[in-house]
Amino acid sequence: MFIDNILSTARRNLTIQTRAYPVHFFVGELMSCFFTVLSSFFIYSIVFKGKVSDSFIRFSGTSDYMSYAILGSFMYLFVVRTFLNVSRSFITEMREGTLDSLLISPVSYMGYLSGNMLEQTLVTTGELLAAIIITSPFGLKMPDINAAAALLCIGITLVSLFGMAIILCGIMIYLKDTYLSQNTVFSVMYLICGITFPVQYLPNWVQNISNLIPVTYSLRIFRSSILAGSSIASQAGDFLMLAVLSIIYFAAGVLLINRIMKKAPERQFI
Amino acid sequence: MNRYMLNSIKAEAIKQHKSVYHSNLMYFSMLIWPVLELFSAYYAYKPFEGTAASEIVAKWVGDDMIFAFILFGYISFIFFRCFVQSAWRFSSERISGTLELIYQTPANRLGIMLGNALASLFESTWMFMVFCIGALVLFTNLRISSIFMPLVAVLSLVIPSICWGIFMNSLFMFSRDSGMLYTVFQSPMEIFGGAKLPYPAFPFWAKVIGGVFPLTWSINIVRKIFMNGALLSDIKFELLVLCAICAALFLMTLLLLKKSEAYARKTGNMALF
Amino acid sequence: MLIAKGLKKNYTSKVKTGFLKSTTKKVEAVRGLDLTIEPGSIVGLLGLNGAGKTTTIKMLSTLLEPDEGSCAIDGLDLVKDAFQIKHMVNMIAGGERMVYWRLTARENLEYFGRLYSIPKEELKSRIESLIRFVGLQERSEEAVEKYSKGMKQRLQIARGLINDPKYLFMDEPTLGLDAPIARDLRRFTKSLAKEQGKGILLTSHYISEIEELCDYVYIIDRGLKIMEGTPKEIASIVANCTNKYKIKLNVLPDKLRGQFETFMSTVQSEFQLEEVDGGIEIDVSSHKDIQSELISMLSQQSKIISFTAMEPKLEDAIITLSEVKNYEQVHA
Repeated sequence: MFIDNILSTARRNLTIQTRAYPVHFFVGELMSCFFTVLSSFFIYSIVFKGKVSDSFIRFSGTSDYMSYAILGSFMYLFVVRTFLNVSRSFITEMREGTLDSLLISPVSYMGYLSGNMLEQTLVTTGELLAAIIITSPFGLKMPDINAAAALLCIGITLVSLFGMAIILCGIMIYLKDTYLSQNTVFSVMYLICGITFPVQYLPNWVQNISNLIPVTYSLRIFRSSILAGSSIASQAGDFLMLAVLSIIYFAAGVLLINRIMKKAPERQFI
Repeated sequence: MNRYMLNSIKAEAIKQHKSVYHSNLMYFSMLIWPVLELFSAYYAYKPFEGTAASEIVAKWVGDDMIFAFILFGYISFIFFRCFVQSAWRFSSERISGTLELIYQTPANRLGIMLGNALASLFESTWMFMVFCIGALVLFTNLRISSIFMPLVAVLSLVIPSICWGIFMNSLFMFSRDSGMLYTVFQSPMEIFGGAKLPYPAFPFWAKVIGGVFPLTWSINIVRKIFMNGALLSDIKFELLVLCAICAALFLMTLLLLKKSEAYARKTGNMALF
Repeated sequence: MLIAKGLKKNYTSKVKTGFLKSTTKKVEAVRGLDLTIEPGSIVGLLGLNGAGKTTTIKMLSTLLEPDEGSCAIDGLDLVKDAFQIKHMVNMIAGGERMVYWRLTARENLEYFGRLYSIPKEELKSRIESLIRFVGLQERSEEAVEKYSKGMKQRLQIARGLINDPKYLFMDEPTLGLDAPIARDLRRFTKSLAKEQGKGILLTSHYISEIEELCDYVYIIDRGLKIMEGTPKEIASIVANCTNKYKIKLNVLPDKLRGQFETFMSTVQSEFQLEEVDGGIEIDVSSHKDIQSELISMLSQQSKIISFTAMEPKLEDAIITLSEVKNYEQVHA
């Protein structure tokens, strides 16, 4: 029943996406990925003549700033696309007038959302391949990749992203808004999760907030596994924190969504 | 300027203002997001602090002025972006069907575009003031030659951004996929215009791309006025280029409007591209 | 059997009163409604816009939780057993929404069918028969956005039947449909109840639709039931409380005019006089049937050129009924 909900929703979304793929979303995200990297390239190569400071090497464990920045932009692509689809799923149904037909059926909210997540992960993976190609001129180097650690990191990250997306979904339904909430979340995460620079540069109180967001750990593990070849064991602490946060966000999301969805049809009237 | 033109400008500006700028959106898009983005841009410089090249950068940016440097560049960029966004929103009227209704009226087309752009003027000027006052309080080493010069800075933002706004407006209006155009123009303008980067440091090819955008010159003027205490004579080259670009944008807008309407009458289709 | 007792639903909404200030406004959508639907019967729910029809239907279909009152469907509780009830009920609303426009008719039905966990083989044959039933077999592989309004509406009906519900709630199902399609839908609704034994709740604006289909009718106004009965009873009451006549006379002598005005005030009726080409036109509206009295009085001293009794309108009846109800409440 639950699995059936996931699969049928994922299939439905894929059908819709292949029939009317939102090209400008895709191009928009790819472009912003490209320009984030281009911007880093300008600062690094043109303005600072390809030299990074010692503190950067100490904080990030690499002197390869371009690879550091490119991996950051890939992670950001995953964050943005997941939130854009999964978090907005119910509110999109609300706007298109299909929410009632959905809620009148014995659908499982989590099954439905998981289906959205599954489909979006497949689509984003495809988009990531495109992103890898367009950012290749900037030279992503993976000399010493630890594939096991990187894959495990991606796996847990997906769970944590899903948890955060569900929470954001609840907030969006509650506020009946997508634009303000999604863009606020995006700009906060871009600043404090270490997308383009190590979080250690931020003031301590901001770092404390960063440490509550799973993406911060994901990025650290992801880069360290790919650029420095760190093993799972050597990053056990970060992995543990990532796993714990993922479970917390996930559980909070499940609790929140069941509460919010009970009131959702009513909120369409107001 | 005739009666139709004035009425069209006024009506469109009021409609746009009423339907879009509710207070929440104002605070977020003009205050909270820019502050967050500003800090992101500032921290992106951190990995390079103290390297050998940072002395060269100081030549362009000024000693310990990176934050002020980014701030003035970035708020100028938002000033422009504001107009582009309103143009983009306007183009969505084609989808909701209200655009055809507007075109059935005898309203002046250019007036509509202008009114639409003017509606953003209020919010962008408000934002600019808030940030400038903030900068003046925060940075003690800003040098401004006279009270008159910040006014020049505001004008060199307002006039080019309106010209840019109406040009974008007519471009979005007659294209099939305005969402795509929006992305195509936004980020390159931000990077090549030098919102967060020192334009003089760019290689020649990047300077050429940046030179096309009016934003590039507006940013230069704003920075020189607020950070270097420039007088009118120090920025006359930038002002001249800016005037030329504005005139070119205005002419292109007129041409586009004329062409598109003739096209629409013939084919019944608004999309020109 | 579906038995609802004392259903109540309030909406609260925020009203901005100034900068950062807002007060909550309470809207009582349904104020204590009792109703019963037996399997195999069609029950009508009548009311003007904003009477609470849609809210009632949304409560019965588990979309909204009632604030007060209870409802039992075949012994299951509407709130506690909502999940099981979802398998037994479905809703069809007028308009073109509630299906995915980018999917084909078949894909829509497959998706919703799987949400109800209908076994694959059974779902397949059910979709076939539903598509045939609503006459979409030729275009079932086309995306819904290419459909006409009527076709989208028919697909909605198929969606509403996908779980073979025991109780079906239809909210203005014929809204915006062409006359022949609306007629088909009515015939079809009847067969669902009479041949398949489904209990159906139907809301409508059209008294003729209610008269044709329903076994029993509730009339609600501003969340309160103001009347219930068989369509025959309702129709006669409706006919009684609004009688409108349009009369054309060649002359109206002063004596007759005096007589007519006295009669109008004794039967508490309203009228309007207008001089037109070749005579006088009188519009009469009355709560009583005064057709024969009018004819006999007028024809004695004048010549009646035409006499039309207007068809009673449901809207007028509801307004009259709710006025009477308010009057009774105030003077009780």
